[in-house]
Amino acid sequence: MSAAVQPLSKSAVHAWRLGLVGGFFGLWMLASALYPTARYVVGDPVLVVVQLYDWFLEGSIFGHLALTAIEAMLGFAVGALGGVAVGLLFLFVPALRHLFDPILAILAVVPRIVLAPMFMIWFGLGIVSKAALVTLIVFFIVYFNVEAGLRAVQGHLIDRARLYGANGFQLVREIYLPASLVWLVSSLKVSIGFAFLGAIVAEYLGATAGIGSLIAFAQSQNDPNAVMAGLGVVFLVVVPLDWILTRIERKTVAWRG
Amino acid sequence: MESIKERLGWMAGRIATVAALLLLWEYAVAWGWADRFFFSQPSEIWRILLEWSQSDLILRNLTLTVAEAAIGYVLGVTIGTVLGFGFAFMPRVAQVLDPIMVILNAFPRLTLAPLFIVWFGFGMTPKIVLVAAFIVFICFFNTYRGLKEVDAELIDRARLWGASDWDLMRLVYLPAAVSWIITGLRASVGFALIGAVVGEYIGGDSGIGFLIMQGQHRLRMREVLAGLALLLVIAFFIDVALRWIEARSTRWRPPVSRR
Repeated sequence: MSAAVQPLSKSAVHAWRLGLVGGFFGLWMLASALYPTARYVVGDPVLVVVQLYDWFLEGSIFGHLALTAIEAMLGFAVGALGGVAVGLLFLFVPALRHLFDPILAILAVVPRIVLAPMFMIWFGLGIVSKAALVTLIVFFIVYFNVEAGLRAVQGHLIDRARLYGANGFQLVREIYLPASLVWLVSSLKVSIGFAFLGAIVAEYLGATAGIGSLIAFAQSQNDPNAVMAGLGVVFLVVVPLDWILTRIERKTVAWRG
Repeated sequence: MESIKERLGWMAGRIATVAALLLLWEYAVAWGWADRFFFSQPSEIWRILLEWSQSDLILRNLTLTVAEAAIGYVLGVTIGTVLGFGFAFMPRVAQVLDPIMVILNAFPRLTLAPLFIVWFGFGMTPKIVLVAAFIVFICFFNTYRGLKEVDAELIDRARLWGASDWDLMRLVYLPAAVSWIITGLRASVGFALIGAVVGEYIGGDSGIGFLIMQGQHRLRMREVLAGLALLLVIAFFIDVALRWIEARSTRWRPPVSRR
């Protein structure tokens, strides 16, 4: 790599970014002002902002946001607990691990989102079907992480603890649980991110409330501005969330190198 | 290491477990412990699959879904790799665009599916674009990180021995990029399948996603499950292929965990 190029100054970087984002919105405004087709397909940025303003001012958006968050967190809690529990169970009953781990690995290739229609037939259009889907998504992520984490626990640590007279319960509490928790935290970014994604997509596929249903409704009304505004809300939720989780991840994984 | 005999034993155990679960399912429904409407039945699903294969539905839809996933995958890998190289060799571009790529990557692309359908119609294009939208980022970040982590000492030494830019590209950078693409293969193949199937589910007139959607709209669980069974078959073959590729490409490396 050529080391000759000097890095840009901080202000130059900011100027470039501002210019690019500004240029993007400028082009979008121009296109929607000049071409009616474009207005129909991508909406008008001004009207999108007006729509967002309306939603937040009326406060109608907060109910949807809360619902999506509840679905995501409910599913996350159950899925993460399940993942840790199954990981520990397989640790202590290796025969189960031998039987089921490869089966889980194959199931993991099937996109869980595709199960949304099945869950909707089983659990209806409410919270439960979304939380169930999120549970399944999170379970797989957490299980594979925890399983790898538990396997990485060094044998001599266990031997030494045994030597000092630790029983099975103490081993779980003092060694295995902390070990799997570390892996749980370090996979938080992926699992919480996917929890929200799963909830939103499931809502889009069939729901009466929630951010995803907002987009589906706008689409059925042929309202491109509301569709874009809905995507904007998704953006406002997901990007800060990702930022925070990245920070947490960096903090927790730092010691692992 | 397990012996061959042991491995065969576990394999038989797995098949027996799956068979037992299927039997349990079959008879739980037959004896009325579980509702046929909600759970269907393995034999019923099998009949639907036979019906579909006789009317050529399976082959046509399976090929379509796999083709969409494959084309989107190749497109995504190409763009992602080019972007990765671009960012790695043009630090100023990387400096400006890095956070923008991170933000775009955080955005759930599946929610863009409806937009792609409005933009590109109901054919294969929106599904291919959706698949590529997933793959581009996975491939980009893997390639970019891989290239940045190429040992500087290796480059210096190669230079010292008179390697040209082209030699470096061919012998150092490209192999590094390929090894990173293989590392990300498992995640990216899954996403390719998601993109194609969900795209078909949301708006399309054929493909496995469409079969599932149709089954759901008719409230026929057996058709939804038959569609999922087809996906499972694809997943199984993908898993076998991935294991083979991973085993071959990482033979030189000490064994690592799956993720």
